[in-house]
Amino acid sequence: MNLSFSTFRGGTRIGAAVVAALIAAGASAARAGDWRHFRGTDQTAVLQPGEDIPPVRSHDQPVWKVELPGPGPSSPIIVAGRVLLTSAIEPNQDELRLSCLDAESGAKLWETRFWATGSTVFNAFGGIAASTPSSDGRVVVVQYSSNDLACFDLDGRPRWFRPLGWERPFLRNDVGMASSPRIVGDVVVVQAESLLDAVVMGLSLQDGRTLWQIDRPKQAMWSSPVVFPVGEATSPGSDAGPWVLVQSRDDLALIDPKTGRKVAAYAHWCDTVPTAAVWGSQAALPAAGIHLLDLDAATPALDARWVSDRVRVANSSPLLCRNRLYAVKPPNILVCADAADGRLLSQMRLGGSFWASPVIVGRTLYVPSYEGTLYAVSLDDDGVPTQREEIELEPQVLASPAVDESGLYVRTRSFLWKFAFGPK
Amino acid sequence: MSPFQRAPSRLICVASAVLAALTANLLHAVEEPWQAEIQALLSADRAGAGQSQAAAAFDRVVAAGLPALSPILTNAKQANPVALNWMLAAADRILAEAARVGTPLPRDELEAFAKDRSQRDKARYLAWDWLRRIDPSAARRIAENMLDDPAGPLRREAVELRLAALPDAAALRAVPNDDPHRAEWRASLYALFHAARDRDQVRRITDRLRALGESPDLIEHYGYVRAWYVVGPFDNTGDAGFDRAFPPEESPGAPVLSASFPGKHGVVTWREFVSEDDVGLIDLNAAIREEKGVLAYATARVTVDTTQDAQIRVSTPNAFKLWVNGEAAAIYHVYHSGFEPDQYTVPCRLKQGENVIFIKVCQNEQTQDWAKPWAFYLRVCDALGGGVMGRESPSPANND
Repeated sequence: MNLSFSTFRGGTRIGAAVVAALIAAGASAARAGDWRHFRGTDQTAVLQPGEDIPPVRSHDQPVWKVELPGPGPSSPIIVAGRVLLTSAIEPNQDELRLSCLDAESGAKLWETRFWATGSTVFNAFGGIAASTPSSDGRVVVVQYSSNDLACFDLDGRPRWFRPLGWERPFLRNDVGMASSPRIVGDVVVVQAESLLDAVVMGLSLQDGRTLWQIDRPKQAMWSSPVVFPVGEATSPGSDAGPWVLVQSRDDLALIDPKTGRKVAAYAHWCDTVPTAAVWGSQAALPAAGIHLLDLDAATPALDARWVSDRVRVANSSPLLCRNRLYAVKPPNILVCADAADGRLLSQMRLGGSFWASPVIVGRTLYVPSYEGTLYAVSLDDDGVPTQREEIELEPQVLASPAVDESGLYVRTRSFLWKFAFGPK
Repeated sequence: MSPFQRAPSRLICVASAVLAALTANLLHAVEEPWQAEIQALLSADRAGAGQSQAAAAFDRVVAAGLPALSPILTNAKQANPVALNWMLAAADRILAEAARVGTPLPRDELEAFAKDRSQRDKARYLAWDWLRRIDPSAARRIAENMLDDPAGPLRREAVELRLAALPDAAALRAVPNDDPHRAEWRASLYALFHAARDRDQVRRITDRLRALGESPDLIEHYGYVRAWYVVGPFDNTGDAGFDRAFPPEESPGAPVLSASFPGKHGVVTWREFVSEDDVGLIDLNAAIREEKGVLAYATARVTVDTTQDAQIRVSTPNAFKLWVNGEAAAIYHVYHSGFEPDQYTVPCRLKQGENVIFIKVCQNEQTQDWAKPWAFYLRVCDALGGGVMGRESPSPANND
């Protein structure tokens, strides 16, 4: 057993009041290379598109490979040179962990633990540590399938605990819940939707109190809230946006994270597992195919530009990048389509099955299969996949990769791997 | 002596008294500056209540260091689940900080606390976990006496330590019948079997006992109920049956097993069904018929030696309602959202002697392959998950 949990580097002890002041002053500007939420700081899952960044190749060895204290489908995030990752300790997975590693060396900086207060019934395929953390650069918010949320500073000190599973005992899904929280300004948007209870909430980043909540259709959802920053870009000087996209089986809602008000909706049911991709003022919504939506921020409204059932996903989320749409179509076909009209541009058969979602770094798309093969797919000048390389990891990969300027971080069942970009 | 001469003496006395009082107050304040902080941690609660105060208190007790450790651990007894996380996080942090700067950790205090069964189980486990770090042999030694510990995490560690010292299943299979160690291993494994509560440990122990030719009684160990009477199908078209009380439901505390009822397709009667499954699975598709839009009732009697608090742990992919001795105990109106061991934990109070368990299990009309199961299994256990040794009564009760 790794007994080095909870060690930490000394630092300034910051009282709650100071932390609160920092939070109130606004999140720190995203450092180049931070990957702060599920699918990145801007949630596009794209880093430096089109740049000449040396890809990971099939013969590459990991820069480091760190054994994790427990399993979990959650993805890592990267904040200020630190990799943060949740786990849950087997066999009961009621001991919840948050680990912090140095991004460069993989050395454990600290690890903290607390106990689940909600349901820890889960299917062995997944696990309790299913939601990816979210950070504003100063604190990190974690969520687990037990619907326990907590906020820690970057030295691992707890700032608040919010036991939603204890407060709402019917908020549970016995195969597990997986929506990831999303910090937007000083609000944490939390989506927790199951068959007996379902809610989207805005919690105060300062102390976890409920600022607003929306009762939702009682259906199981595993997708995550995604920020649409278009409001700021298209309405300068106004206080519109950023807004948050939230999927349900009724519609795709665009919500003001400050108030919970629904500002627009696309009236079509959504897939329950994959999360909509965003790029600029477009969103690719998985809904038994893909609905490519344009956001009209002035109205506001979400309008379908095109709908295609030829481009679809199962569990892996789609990706939009520079007028290209990428999707891993079941069982294992990487599809590239023109985001303007949905025309298929290429299809590349991979192998295995996919739960993780792809990321793009420079001119390379990365996606790991459940069976443990990391595919590195080269993209031409037009963003079309051309060839691929395969890097073998270990099986049972559910988490999507995270990236920073130095490398790619992939979580397998037992390890976190880092592969470097650049000269080897 | 002149008044001027007495005045200084009085002044000194008064000053001394004042100084003594101030010093006493200061000492009191210095000795226990964290009591207010512990109260702040204990006041943390649901819905974000008390979190900012708890965070500030956390920082202060961590700054207080090891002197604050014992009060934090002992006060964990009073903590609600949120406050408990604050207390344990503070204790972890205090110990980690002390370890980081090279301060000797309080080995004896940690051992005493870990052994004290009156303390909060997770706090005891934390203490034992840190003891293991600084003195692994001491942690092993006290774990020897934890096979019957009421704290689940500690009991698990005790089982694991002993299990690691025994041959694995493959090795045991190769042991000749006349091996002199065989009886000793058998006895040790049965002791661990009776102590273990986590399924992974029970499975590994069971594998080893079976390697010795033994057949440990998992049904009794877990408290699974195998012998039932079932009746159905009744109509659940459009899920309308879930909230409709069909005739069997009119007497969930005293079902009349000789009665017949109008079912969905004609008259139905109670039929005995004894599961041969390892977990007492009742497959209603087999026991009644495979059909959608239906429901069935099942009843069993469990006998316990003493009146006691217990848990009924239900596993089913179907919507269900549960009664214990005629009292409604659980309602879960959800279909095909998992089918896991101990999926639903229902606290109950069992009376000495015979207790009636009555369950209504509904199947909806989803057509997907994964929506096919119409089944349940159920066990009666204590809070740690050990069967409460109920004796099932498969014979028809005298309810005419």
